[in-house]
Amino acid sequence: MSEKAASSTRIRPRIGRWEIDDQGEVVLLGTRCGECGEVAFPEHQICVNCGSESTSEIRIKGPTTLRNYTIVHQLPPGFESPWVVGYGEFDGQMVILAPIVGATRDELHEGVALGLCVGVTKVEDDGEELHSYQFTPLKA
Amino acid sequence: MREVFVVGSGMVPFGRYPNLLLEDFAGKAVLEAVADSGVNRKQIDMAVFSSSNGGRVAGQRVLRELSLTGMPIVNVENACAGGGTSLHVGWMAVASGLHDVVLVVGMEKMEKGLIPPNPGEYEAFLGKTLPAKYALRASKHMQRYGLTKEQLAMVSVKNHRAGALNPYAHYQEEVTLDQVLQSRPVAEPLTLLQCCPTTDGAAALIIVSAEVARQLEVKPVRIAASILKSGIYRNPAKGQSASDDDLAERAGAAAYEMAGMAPSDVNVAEVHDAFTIGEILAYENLGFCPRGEGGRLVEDGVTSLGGRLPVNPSGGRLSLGHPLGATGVAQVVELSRQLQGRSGARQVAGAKTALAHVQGGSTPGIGTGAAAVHILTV
Repeated sequence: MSEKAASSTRIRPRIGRWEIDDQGEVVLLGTRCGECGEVAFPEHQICVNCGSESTSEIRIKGPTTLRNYTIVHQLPPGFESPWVVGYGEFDGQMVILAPIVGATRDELHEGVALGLCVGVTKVEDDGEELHSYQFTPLKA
Repeated sequence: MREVFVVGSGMVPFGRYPNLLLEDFAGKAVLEAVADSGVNRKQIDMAVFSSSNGGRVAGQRVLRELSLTGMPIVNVENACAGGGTSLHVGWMAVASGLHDVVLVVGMEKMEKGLIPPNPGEYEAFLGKTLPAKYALRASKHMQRYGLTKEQLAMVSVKNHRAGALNPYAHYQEEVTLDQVLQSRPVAEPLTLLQCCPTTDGAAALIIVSAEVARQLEVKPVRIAASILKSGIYRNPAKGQSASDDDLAERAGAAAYEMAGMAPSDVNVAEVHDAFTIGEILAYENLGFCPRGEGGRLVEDGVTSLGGRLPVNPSGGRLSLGHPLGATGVAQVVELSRQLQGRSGARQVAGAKTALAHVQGGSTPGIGTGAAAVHILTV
């Protein structure tokens, strides 16, 4: 098997889906349960809260409110070190974990508003860049 | 259900065994447990093994070397909770009346460094390593309740002090608060000495029915509660407690109910301190102190050897070491010997009731995969 073929059959982590809307904003694609109303990201076809199979897509936009974070120093190969990950809260409805990029320590504190962006999170050993949604400080 | 008793325990010193097969050192723990109990090893009518890295039919490979063949052998994988899970499975077999003498073994050979995530663990792909998971739990606790970096570090100092007295511990050296705080950061606020080391090891127990226990000359330790739970989805945006904490709370509450006891009845405990914050949260989740006061509990010395409720007298995961599948069994080796008054320099005087808690298996959406809580009494 060629290296290219091996790369194309790699199992990618099942992170949530996103798209870029007409204004160039990152929109996360989750689900809302038709019975209990629980929202989920990544999407769940069966509601993780109540077990209902009646879920539909929702579009989740920033900004998000930072709850807490950690600066990670020991990482698997393919990550930049240090690397910041944190939990963002969306409208009191849900909490999502994402990398936080482009922030100084001073910009990171509970309650700060962060925007959504997409960027390279990990580089595989064959050089393939794996992208994900990320949080980043809002531009003034 | 029938009552179930621990009558024998065995363990190899935890450390690094690069030149030995799992079969080699796990077999030693089995033979020690058998000899300790006084049962004839041919009396064993079922065996339950726990490991995460042991490969296929790991238990059969160990027992073949001891000429113990033909019995039902169950091989369990439940990450850091695997050892507690295997004891739970063995307990079910004796409690139900199906078997009278069951061997329970936890064993592991670890790879150095971070534990690689499962492919479906998407948060790990985003950079949430296992230490980062616990670091996030720590940072939340600091924000909400004022837990300090020093209080976190004190867990490591305390457990290394106990481990220095334990000939089975991987790291038998005391560390100072400064050494812990100044060691390199792994995931802030956790430093290296607040994270469990890479350790190989094996531990074994013989558990039996009351009828068999009466025929032996050892002091039996009764399993007053054996509980296994898995994580439930909780939405932290809605003020619910985190899935990880909820899991331990539910497992603890069920164990107290089964035993007919309260947290105040516990004299000594082994809890899941793979990272320092894990121990602080375990105090709170298991009811050793009110929510938010775990930092003060360690700072006040309550959980030190000599305190009101010594926790992790073995040295815990931080000093004894944490061979994943072995840990839950090793905790019960330590605690059953504590209740039998055999723990030498780290003996908790007069201990009658002990609690063992393991949890692990990071699983996005439900927090932690599994938790096991056992209560032992004499």
